[in-house]
Amino acid sequence: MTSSPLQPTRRRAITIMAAAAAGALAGGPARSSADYEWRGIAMGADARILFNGIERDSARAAIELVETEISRLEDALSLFRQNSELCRLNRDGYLPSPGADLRRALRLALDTAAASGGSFDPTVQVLWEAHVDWFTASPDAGPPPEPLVAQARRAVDWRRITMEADTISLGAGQRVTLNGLGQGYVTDRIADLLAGRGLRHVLVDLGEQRAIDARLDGAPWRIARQGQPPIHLQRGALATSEGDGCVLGAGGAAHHLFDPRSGRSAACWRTVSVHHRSAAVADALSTAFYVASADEIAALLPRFPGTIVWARDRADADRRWISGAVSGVVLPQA
Amino acid sequence: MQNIAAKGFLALRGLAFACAALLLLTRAAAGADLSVASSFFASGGAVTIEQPQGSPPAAAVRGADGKLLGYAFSTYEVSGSVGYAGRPLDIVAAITTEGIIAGAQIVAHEEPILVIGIPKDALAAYVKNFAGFDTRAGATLKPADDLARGPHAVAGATITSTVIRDAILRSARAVLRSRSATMDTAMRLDRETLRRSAWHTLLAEGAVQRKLVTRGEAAKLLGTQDSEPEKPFIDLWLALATPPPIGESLLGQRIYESELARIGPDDDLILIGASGLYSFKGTEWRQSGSFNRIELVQGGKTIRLKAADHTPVEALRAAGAPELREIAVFRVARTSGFDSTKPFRLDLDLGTPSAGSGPAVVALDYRVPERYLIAPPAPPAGAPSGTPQTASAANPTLWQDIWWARRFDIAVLVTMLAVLAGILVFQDTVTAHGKLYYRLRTFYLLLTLVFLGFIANAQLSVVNVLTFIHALLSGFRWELFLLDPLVFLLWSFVAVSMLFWGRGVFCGWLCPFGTLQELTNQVARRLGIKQIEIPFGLHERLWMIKYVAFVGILALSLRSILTAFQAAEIEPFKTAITMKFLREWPFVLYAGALLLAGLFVERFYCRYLCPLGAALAIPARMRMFEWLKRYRECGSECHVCARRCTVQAIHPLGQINPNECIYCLKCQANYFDHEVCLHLKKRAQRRQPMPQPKPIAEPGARP
Repeated sequence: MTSSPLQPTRRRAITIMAAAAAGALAGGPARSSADYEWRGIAMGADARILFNGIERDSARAAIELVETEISRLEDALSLFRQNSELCRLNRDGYLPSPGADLRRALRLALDTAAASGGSFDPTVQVLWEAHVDWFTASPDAGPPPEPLVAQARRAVDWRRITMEADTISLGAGQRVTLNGLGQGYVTDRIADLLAGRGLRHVLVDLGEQRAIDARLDGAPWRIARQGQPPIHLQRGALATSEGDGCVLGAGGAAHHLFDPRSGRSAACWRTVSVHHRSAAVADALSTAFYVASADEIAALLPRFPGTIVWARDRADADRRWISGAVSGVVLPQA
Repeated sequence: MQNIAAKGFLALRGLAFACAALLLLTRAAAGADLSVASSFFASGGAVTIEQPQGSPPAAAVRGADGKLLGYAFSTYEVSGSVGYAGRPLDIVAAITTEGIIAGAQIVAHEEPILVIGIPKDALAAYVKNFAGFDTRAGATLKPADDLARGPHAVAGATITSTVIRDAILRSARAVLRSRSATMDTAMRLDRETLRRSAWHTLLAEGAVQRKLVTRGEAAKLLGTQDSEPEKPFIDLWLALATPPPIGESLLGQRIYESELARIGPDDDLILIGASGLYSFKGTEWRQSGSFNRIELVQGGKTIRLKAADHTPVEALRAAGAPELREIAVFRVARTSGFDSTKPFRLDLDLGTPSAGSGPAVVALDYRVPERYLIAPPAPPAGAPSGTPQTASAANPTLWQDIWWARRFDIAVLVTMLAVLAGILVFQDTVTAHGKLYYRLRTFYLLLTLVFLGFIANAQLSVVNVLTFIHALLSGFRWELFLLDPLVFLLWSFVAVSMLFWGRGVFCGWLCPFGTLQELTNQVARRLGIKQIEIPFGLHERLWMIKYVAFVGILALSLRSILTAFQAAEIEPFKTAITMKFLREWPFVLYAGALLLAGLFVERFYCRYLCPLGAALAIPARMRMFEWLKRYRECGSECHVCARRCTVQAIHPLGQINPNECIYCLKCQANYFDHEVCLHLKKRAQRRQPMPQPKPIAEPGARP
């Protein structure tokens, strides 16, 4: 189940272009204006961290910290680690003495689920597994038949997760994924860790992007998006959900973003990007909004102040919503 | 003894604080220029020194081909090296990747011992000698005596040379340890050393770490509003309480020991305390048995804290500790993977955020200060040279090595001090035997001059007083003073004797330059050189010079200790004693002139110029005993003692001025001398006609 051959990660066609010349990346010896890039893997996805205006050795020391911290968080939250707390929770249905990071991430997931009116649900893992099993058996077939989906959907309900003081337990047959916000959560933790070490001009990109602060010269980080104008990120996070990032079935009959209500891959949007101060929140909201309709987004958004949502629908029409006072993003000229 | 020594300086400390209030302490804190390190490497100018990085800060040194050659660092920035003066001692050094010191150069110091009398090039040569020194554990096992004394290129600078050694080697090892995995030998936590530390000391050395989260910051993280954002949400303190100086100081002996009894020999105690609105314990733990708000994180390990492993603590016991709302000590087992010698952090969950806020966590980083760590014993390496002494040489307890290495000097000094204490305690008996007294005194003076002065270089100086005052002002460290055992023992003795009998004990018996003057003057008298008698009125007024000199030097030291050390050159001690006149001619001329004056006016320098004498005379006003005996006739009918007094400390009216008295006891010898003392002569005359069956004991009237 958790060791499925496919990795349910959203590999997005997003590239991050440094506002300054990218040539600096290839540059020679350490100079204070040079950029350093770290590449690795976090939560089963490609990860990078860009350092600007930081000496190589500082970056190197920071990376050592980052790698251990990512590994530590994966031990709690990752579905790709056999004995992570999350995997043990899914395997046993309950987890005694969970660590603070799993509790926090799950708490955030449950809160988002409660606030999103059902469009976000961390228990969709069974839907994913059902789809993966279906397409593994018959790759060329269409979407799985309704009875199969309906059966899986019976295990989807975040309200059946109980978080007690020292135990987490799941309802019967339930399995939890934190892929809706886990990467964002880890992004936040890593960004806070680096910020706590006094590093400022850093972009953490663990699937979701979070800028601790703008680049040394004050220029924002430019987050390029396919076929859309780039987003200029000065501070805070940007999370993007894109169904095409991880397609199931030979014909693209389904993708990894499930609507918990229907049990099917959501079909409303092509891509949804969310800016929020916190990458975890942005990540959760981009997942929630991806399965929500435009009206639902407009209705839900006021509950999340400080949020910008960019959505492109299947007809390539772009929509944008802003909630409350937003900072950290340089909005392109409308 | 230590406490008494400290008490003896209370008066000085008060004076120093008063002066400190008037003058700002200035301190050069600019980072050292590491570029000098390029000359340490064989390829000369072809190497590049990068910007210093990391912790501890060090700059990578690369050859022309970009190959990493080693690291350059400043000892002050790496290990906060301070000299004997308690002021920054900064040496730029470089270490190769193999652990060999590539070179070293002093860039800044305010060392009294260095300033006074050590030729600059000798010092440079000494520091340069470290090039090629192998810092790797076990690489160069030398006998402990050699290690403790270091390369002896600089005569009379033993304290500073050990401080320099310590600074270079400690920093080099710290840099290399942090930079290379191969050097990463397991450090061990010092669980034995006992010491009480005040709160501010623990804070200053980083043994206690703090994180203040204001209500505004918490609200921002939690996505809420707060009407009083300036107030503390939580003011969190964290300490590794396992080492006795931290744990016992903070918890008090009773709790510390009972907690210690509950953990294994490799387990640890962690103290968390907080004040403010938010509780780090919360309430859930009462049911769940675990603390949900706090968590220890070390590397990739997360360590949860259990209710069963904690003990609530009422209050912190360290002097000056704040009152906290909530304190608890947590027992952390080694089996949890926790390693107290490595950095770790405490994650504090600020509570459930409102929907639409990210993780609300603050982290408090902790790393146990290096002084609580013990380097691993040198590996056996199969060499037969691995005696316990060589192993201890690698330990940071430098001063113990020095004491051991100088154990013979220490034995002689302790004997000398014991004899002197005997002379003082039984002064009546000693001085009553005139011949014995004079011989004993001459012998003692010779010993002081030759052994204390010329052999051991243990000449106390006003510089020591300045150092002590500044150490009190900027964080006192016993280790600094323990580095020179003779000076330490001498000062301890002087402090006690000063409280008992006044400042004269040092001046009259233990000051090598003072004895030099007195002995030369005695020779001069034998040769028939006529002594100049200074009229008492003038004499009395000339005394002021030395007090002015001392206060001036003290005031200068608060502005710039370096200038004060230069001003302290008014003391000819270094020229005459430490350097044995092998110095630039103006210094030699000055010291010679003083000695010459001393031939005509006994102890000329002591009487009028000595700032050290002044420094001692001020606190010595607290002395407890007045044991010097006088007769009623003294001063009125007879002035013999006053004329014979070494420093003319006896007023024409007969009383002894204890501020000036050097406690040579000559007047006491006269007191018992039937051929000198008028009183005794008169009494003898009175008694002569009547045969006495037995002499009536003279009760010894005091003035």
